[in-house]
Amino acid sequence: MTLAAPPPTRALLDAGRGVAASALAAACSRLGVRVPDDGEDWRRRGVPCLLVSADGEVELDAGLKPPYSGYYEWHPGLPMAVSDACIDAVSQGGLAVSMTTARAYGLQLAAIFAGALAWRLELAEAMAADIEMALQEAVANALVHGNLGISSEPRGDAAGFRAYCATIDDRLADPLLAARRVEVFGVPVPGGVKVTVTDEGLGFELNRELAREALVGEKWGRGLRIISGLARRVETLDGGRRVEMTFV
Amino acid sequence: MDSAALSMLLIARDQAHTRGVEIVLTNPRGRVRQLFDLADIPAMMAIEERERP
Repeated sequence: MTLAAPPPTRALLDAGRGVAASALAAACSRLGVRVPDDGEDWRRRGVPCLLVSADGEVELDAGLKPPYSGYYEWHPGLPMAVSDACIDAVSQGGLAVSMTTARAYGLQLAAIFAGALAWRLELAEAMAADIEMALQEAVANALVHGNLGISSEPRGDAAGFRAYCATIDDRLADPLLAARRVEVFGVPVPGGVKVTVTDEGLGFELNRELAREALVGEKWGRGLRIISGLARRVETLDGGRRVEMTFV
Repeated sequence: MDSAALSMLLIARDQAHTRGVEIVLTNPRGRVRQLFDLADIPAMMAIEERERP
């Protein structure tokens, strides 16, 4: 008996630790992708595959290495909301990460992602370092100012900085805010890479924030200026909930 | 090192200033120097290049 070839797909969702393959069915049907068939040799065929797992750091590392092209954190009880953008990123030969704020905060996500992207796309060392530095700012903005909804303004003195840190801890203890997602994608473009960071906050207006950051002497808010100095092009989309940075 | 660390440096600068002390950043190199330049730190804090003994 010959097994029928598995149907072609632009990407696969693979169930990692703490996730039953059946839990992926609804997401697969919405996204027009599928889980690997039993015994399907997708690893050798190079079909892009996103690892969906309840495990944190270990599976994040696994998801960013071949044969996987990304990691989606999911726990029973959370909505299974793998985004089209996530699937687009992996099916275009890129890398994707989608994590809750609770899990991403305190992880060196920028360094981990930039390292994996540099290896995957064989980026020059200088470009990889620029991406890591810009991602550090973009991810911190997405988590703290976007998902946790905290302004950076109180950071004027040591007491303000302590209050700011305490506010972060308070907001992380709010399960609704802690469950908001940050997504990071890196996709090859001619001569370089486009890196995208999305959050679920209120968004911001890039030019207004850059003008505000230009106030010399202020002790807060330099992230966007740093990003703009490192990336060839920076754009905000979706009302400022998505930042796209192009490095060439 | 990121922009949060730069905020802390500027807060430390102000705290030192109230005690009559100036903080000087010495021989920043590589990515740290690049970060200082991108964030316009040389306009706000003293930076010195010194010969190593």
